[in-house]
Amino acid sequence: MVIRERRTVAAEQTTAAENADRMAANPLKAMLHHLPLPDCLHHQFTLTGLNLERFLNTLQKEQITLVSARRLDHRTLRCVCRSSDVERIAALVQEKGWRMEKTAPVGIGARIRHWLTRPGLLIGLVLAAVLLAVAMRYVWVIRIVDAGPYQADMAAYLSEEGIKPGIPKEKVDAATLALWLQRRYPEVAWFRVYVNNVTLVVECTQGVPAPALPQQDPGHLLAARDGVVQSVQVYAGTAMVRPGDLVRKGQVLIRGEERDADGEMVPVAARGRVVARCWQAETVRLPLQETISQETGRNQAAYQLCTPWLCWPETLETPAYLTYQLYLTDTPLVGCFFPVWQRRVEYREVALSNGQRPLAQVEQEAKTAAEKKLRQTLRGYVLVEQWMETCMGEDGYVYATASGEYLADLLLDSDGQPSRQPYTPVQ
Amino acid sequence: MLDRFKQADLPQELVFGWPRSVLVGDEKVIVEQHQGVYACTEREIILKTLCGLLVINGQRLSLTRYDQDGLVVLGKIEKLCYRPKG
Repeated sequence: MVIRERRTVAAEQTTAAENADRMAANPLKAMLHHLPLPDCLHHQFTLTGLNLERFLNTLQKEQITLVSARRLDHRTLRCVCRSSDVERIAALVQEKGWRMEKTAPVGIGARIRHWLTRPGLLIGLVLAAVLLAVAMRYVWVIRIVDAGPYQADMAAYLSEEGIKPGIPKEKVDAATLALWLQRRYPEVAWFRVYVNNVTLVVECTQGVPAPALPQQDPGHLLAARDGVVQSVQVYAGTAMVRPGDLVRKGQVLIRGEERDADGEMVPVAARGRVVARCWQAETVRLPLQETISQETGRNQAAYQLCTPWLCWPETLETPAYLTYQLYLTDTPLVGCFFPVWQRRVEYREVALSNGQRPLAQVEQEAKTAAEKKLRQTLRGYVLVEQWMETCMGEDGYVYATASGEYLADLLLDSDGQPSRQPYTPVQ
Repeated sequence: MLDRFKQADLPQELVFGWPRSVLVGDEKVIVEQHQGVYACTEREIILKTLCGLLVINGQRLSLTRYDQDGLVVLGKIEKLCYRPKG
């Protein structure tokens, strides 16, 4: 018993000496070392000795929790305990006669211990966090978006106003800055100014300019086709027709002059829109007679050996028939990977004769063709009305005429261009 | 007396101090109300209980959370049995 007490006193003296050395070597580390350790920090140690089960039961009686224990061999036990219990366990081990060695923190405790051995890293982390927090309070980048030709001038203006990288965020009044910019750049539709992290963003939205009016010489507008005027809209010039008027192609519809405030006529480039009902007719003719070919029964055949590049024989002897029909039959000899085939050319004599087709069938075909032709001609227009006429010509043809009524701007020709005439003063 | 306690609607392990073992799969045994460790190796852990010695056989066995309330045995559990006292 006396020996055990002496051992304990000696151990306490050793620990105190170690603490003093530690304090002298690294005060911060020593200070942190003396902080109370939370339960989540663990230490690992290896216990050597006899009857290690007694050690486990002793810890249980002393109400010391063991996080884990694993038997390495019959005299060695590796345990993990709470860091706050290490000193109590060390005292127990020393008192009961086991040997406790390789004591080292594990898990988070080990990492903390690692950091404690490198105080510079900890200080550096703290300093970096402080610097980051301070840096986040300033604007370091100014980004001007979609400023177009004002990009450089806007940057210079912001610089003159003191809005430079490094300005504190609280000194940037985004709403006021947007107002300044709107006053300085009236051509820009609006500004959106905001601070995003360490970036001051100035977004510009350019106004869309209205399309320029065509600047043309004074002149009149003419009708591009015949029609009956339905409505007249004059943008510049003087209307020469009214709704209901029948106009001819080339007629002046809007005159290129206007009366000014003094009552005098001044020349202008006439502009406007004259919608009229127009007509279009398309005619198709089909023969009533047809030629009928009938085979006579005489025929002649010849053979060729062909490749994609040449045939042998190159030319064949044609029979002395007046008219004949030609039939070709290709037979592959090898396969598609070796393109050689045999061609059979057969000539069949035919006799030609004229025959009369049914009139109703020819009329129907002519009507269909005429209507198709009309719709192709008036593609893009709305057909108001359509009618069809057929007649039998003296030349043996059937004529079909498809007529259509449609609405169109009389001022625009089929290419969509206005028909203009240079201005000539009224004599 | 014993029959009366048994007839009463009380948890018997609390009344008699019997050990309470929970086997979770074949990887974990939770033992409460044991009386200490009798033997501890990687292949066998023997616990002292009121009912006798509780023998846990397996592979790579280790004790976890060993305190007064109970303990947890981790590893590949192969066998769990009681060895009579004496």
